[in-house]
Amino acid sequence: MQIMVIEDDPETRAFLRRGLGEAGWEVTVFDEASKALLDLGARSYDAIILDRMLPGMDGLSALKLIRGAKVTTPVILLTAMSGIDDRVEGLENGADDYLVKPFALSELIARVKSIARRPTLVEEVAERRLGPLHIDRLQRQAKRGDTLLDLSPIEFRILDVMTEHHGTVVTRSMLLEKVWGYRFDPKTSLVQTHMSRLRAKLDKPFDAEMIRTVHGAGYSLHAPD
Amino acid sequence: MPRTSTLSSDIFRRAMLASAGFIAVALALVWAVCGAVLWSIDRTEWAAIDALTEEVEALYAREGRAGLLAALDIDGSPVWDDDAIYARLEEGAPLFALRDDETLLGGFEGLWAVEDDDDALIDLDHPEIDEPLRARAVEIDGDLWAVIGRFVPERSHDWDWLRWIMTRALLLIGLPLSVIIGYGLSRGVLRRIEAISDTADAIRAGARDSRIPLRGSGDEVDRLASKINQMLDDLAQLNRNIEAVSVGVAHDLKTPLSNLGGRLELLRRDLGDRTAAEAHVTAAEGYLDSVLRIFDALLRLGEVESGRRRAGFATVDLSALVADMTDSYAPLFEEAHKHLASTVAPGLRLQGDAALVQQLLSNLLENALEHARDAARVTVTLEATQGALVLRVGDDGPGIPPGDRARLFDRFYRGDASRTTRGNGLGLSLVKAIATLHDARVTLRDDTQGAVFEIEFPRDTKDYETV
Repeated sequence: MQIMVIEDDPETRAFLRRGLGEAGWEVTVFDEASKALLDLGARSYDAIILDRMLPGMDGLSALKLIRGAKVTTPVILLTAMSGIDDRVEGLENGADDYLVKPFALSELIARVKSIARRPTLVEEVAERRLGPLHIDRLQRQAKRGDTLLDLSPIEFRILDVMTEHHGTVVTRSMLLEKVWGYRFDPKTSLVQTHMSRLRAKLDKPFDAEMIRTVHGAGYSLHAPD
Repeated sequence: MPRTSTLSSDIFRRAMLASAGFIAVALALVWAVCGAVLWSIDRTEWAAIDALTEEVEALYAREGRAGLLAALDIDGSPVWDDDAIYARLEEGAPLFALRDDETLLGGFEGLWAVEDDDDALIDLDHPEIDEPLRARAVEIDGDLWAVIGRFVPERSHDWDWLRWIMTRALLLIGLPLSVIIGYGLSRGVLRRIEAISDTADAIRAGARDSRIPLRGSGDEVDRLASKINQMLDDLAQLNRNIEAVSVGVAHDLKTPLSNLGGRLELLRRDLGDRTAAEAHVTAAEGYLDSVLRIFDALLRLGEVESGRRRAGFATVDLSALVADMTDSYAPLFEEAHKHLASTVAPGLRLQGDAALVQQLLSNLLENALEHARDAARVTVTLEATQGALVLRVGDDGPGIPPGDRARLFDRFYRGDASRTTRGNGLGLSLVKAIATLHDARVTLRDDTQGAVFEIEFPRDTKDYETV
């Protein structure tokens, strides 16, 4: 995957270049939005990581230009501000995701994977399947093989999100956003508790487990081997 | 800045301007009234002379020169004696003179000098009587002239005198008096303003506890001073809070930062031992995380308290939000061997920021999760009363010690009982700030068993509706 990074802070830039490079991606870094925009016309990228506060042209203006030029490459905005309004502003201007500094590299990688895979048009599907797992989104029922899983509404939502993003890491904060709609980080082990309950129902009665813990990053769902 | 002298003060200038205006108006009034009266007297007098003129002309036409002389005859002579003038002056009677080109034929010699065909105000040509009079010389026939005069009446002098005395009184007494009164007035007001300015100087010079002295009269200056004093008290309180917060931040950051430093040092020593090194890194990340959490909470607190978020208020289905959150948290309570029960009245909505209300409830639930005793029953209720939507989160534990209650919502305050647990003492401050943003009241109920936090969201007809 080709990743463009636009970040003025040299430390963060080096950190991103190395970290994303080790994730197996080809990373091109820029310290100014104007240089990056020129390059964007010449090459195509799979994802753009854009710092919101940049010298010269700021991230939000750059984002408007990118979207104005009909470039649909997914963009993740990075920001030092944590206000929700900023987040909304970023998303309204065409960002696909928004990450507040400081962030863990694993979080960024998970989010890049998540948006790079996202189809341009997200369809509301009625059901999802992954191996023996069958999710009926209209009835809000999940089955593994022939067994109907007795899930709470929250567990169902977690499983639904995990299935949508199967094969990639879904981080704790991604789950908080997508399942609960929380924009804050609870002190408690909210995600872990519900996840362990889901696993007790989805994996424990069966031989092979589908949910894997990715240490220090989050969880991922796979068809059993 | 140098002190303002009374004479150059704004109030004195205004007082002077007002007095000058008042005196000018009074002068104009006096001159207008007196002038009008004098003018009307003048008109009446000349009208009387007109009438006399006609009479003289009629008499001449009837009886000729002899008739006129006969009419002027006093004590056997048509030419008047100087003494006759006293009687006429006394009676206010008119004066006459009849002359041809050369000689006085009858009447009073003193009128001789009046010019031909002229209405004039003249002084009587008499050695002892110095009285002004109106006079007119009329040509009656050929070289025969009659001069008719009337003394200026007494009331005319009265009005003239009134005008004169009023003008001098206004200029010589009114003007100095208004300067003196204006000065005294300005000095009084200026002194009270100086008292305010002195207090400001004192505070700037470091006497932070100085306040403007009040007279206790409750007048407008007193009210201003008391408002300023209140504002100073508020600012002082704010300042103390900021100081407390700074100390709190410094104190709360010091522990994780020194732990972080310690771990980095251990990491350097254990670089060869991969397992130990990884453990140090994990621990260091944990310490860094708690530092970042403190900053996050402070930034959030600042954002909420700034009131900026109010712009994004929308209708929030509070019932659904509370039900959803209690469902989410119930398993956590179960795992901590506590019980979470909820009673939520359906369909209650409010104007607010859903994300912040979530955070408020989450902080209260986490607070209960952390501090309620083992096997505690924690209850969440949401109900509507006449004027409010009341959200309660309470447990059945021993409650919060009275000593901790007052400072419970202060930043970085942690009761003795919670010193050993996780947390940064910002959770309840944020609850309070979010509630305040929503005009809601937060109270710690002390009439119930256990710790019960009560949030009363105002419910006015505009802001709520039933789903």
